[in-house]
Amino acid sequence: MKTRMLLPAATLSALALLGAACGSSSPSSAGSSATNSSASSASGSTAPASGAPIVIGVSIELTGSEAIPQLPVGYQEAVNEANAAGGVTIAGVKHPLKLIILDNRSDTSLLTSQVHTLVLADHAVALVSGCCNLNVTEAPLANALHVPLVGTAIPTNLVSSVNGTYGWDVFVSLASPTNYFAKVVNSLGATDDKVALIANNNPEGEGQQAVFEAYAKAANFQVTAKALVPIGTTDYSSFIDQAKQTGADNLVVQMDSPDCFALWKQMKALGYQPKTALANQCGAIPTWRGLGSLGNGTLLGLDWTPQSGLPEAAKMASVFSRTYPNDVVDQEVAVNGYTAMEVLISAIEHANSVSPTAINTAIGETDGPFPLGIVKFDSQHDWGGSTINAQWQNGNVVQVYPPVPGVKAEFPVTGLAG
Amino acid sequence: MSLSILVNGILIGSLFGLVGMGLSLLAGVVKLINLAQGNFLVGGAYLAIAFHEQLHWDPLLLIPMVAVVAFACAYCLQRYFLSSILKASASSSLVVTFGLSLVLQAAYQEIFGANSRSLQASWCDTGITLLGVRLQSAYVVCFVVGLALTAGVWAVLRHTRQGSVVRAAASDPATARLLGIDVDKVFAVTFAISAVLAAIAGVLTAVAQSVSPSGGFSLLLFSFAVMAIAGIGSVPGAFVAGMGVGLLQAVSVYFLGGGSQNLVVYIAFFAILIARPTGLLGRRPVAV
Repeated sequence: MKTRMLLPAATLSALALLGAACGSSSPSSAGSSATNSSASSASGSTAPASGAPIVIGVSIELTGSEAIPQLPVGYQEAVNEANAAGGVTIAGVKHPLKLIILDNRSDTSLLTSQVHTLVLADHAVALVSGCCNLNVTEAPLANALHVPLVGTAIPTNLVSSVNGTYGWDVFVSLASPTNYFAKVVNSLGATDDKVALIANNNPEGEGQQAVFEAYAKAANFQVTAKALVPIGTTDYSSFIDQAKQTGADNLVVQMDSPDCFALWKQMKALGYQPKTALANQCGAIPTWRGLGSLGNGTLLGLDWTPQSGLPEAAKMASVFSRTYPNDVVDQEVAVNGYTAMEVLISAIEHANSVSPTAINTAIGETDGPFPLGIVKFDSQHDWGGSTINAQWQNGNVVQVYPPVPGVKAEFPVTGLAG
Repeated sequence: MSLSILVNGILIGSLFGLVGMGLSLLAGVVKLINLAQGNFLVGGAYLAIAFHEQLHWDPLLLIPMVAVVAFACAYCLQRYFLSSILKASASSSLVVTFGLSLVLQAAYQEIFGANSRSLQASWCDTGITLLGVRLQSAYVVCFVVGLALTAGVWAVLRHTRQGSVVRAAASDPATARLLGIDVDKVFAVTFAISAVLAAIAGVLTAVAQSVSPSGGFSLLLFSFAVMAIAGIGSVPGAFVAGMGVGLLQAVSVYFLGGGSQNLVVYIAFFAILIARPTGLLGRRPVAV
């Protein structure tokens, strides 16, 4: 009886492991099978029927562990503005934009099927992305389907050649926060230049940690503790012990929110209080507020704040404060989405065509002011943007680098004070 | 390797033990594999968070309230919904509880949002030093609560009339019915107790870590490992096995790096399942 009862459990666990393995390998096979049909659609007519909507698709993490529902708010705002102005002009005729938003629940397999549906069934001429780790999967899919993908946080500089021909990253370079972090730390002038690094062992985390390590060394930091951990890790005793033993004054983290929550709580309980802590990903989303006062003093990398001085900063703050009053992190994510969509809309008009190939070429020729700055892609289809280091202070995010008059970085990490 | 790493691993494992204990109890008595057990944990956490937002009580004081609500909901669920389905086909338990798991996850998402949430209290994030070993207070509380619940459940099952009734119903439901035992009620109560254990584990998880709507699945997998190691129906065994899993994780992280911790646990799970299908600590058919 016992054996019979345990077998379903064993089967379930095996399926879970297989599912995890398949989730990371499925895109290439799925993508290649659809290449031909997409290529033929891409080579079809270059102007839609008169007045027909131009479809843009997005498969995004509205729910799940990497949920970022603020991003489509920005996408939709840009589409609404374009449609309010009559739509996008192709060959002298205005066409409304139709944005199809699908929730991939932070699931790679679901993302894969949704991207195929958007392109092959809904006839999306272009895609805008979700966030972060799933973009490592989506960019090769866009390449296979021959449909441009304008993304936020496609980690081109972390996973070589991930963008390929059709992926474009308008998000800030993920290396920049680390570079700026070094400047912030140096401006504080009172750390031992030792840094502890910890990241999730997914492609983004591993890539990001490699970038951090390179930047840290270039900035004369000594990496004294380092760990890559699976998503869902709850025990960080070994890492904390190592960081404490080696006296790392600085901490750089690239992990999911639940993992960061557990790490922060354990750091405080076990008496590890770094002087500076940069929480990429987990610290840069509104979820961080759930840590309460424990999250104060944490640094995060942003690419927009109302004080950034970037083009249309006041307008963006006004537009998105309607949805997210007094919430810089939410607003910043929405501005990311807005900018990505504006870049895409601008390229469609520039291409004067709904051919994905023509749109893709036009995206590559982008060179102009957008809310995140002057967007111009490099040979890797990446755009560095303007990086800002901010800090959680009293439950709010404030810009600390470049310096803002009247704002001072808190140091050491106040939330972790004993 | 410092003693602190080992002891913290054991304490964190007590949380796995608490979840695994409920699953094991349910499998041992009702012969039900509940794939929604992780969602019950998340539900308990959200319930505590909701109470906390209204009452601002310490999370520990919320545990009895959460337990009562969890018991009532789970009892009704088993008595008036699951039992009839399970009577039709015992093998349908996996499908039904998987469906329940999906429904609960979607409901949590709708009600509480997708973000991670945690419970705050003055003692949650502090540490204490015992015999030179620095420990996380939240996990010390997890251990104490887990130990108390294990002792309580074991004592009730072994040394009370109600416990004898449960064991009789688990051993031979047909004969138990002939003896006048309301087996359906016994199963419903067992299901409810199992849910209460998960819900309490949820409150403690929200205190020590955080919860999100989809966060129950990884804990469910760990609780299966705990159940396999302990042997189905072994209540104290599940708690001990949970601590063993925590210790195994801590040791594997130290020697093999963080990436290995889950793999090591699952390998141990399968190895034990193959070598000793009744579990390391399970000897009797119903060892409660």
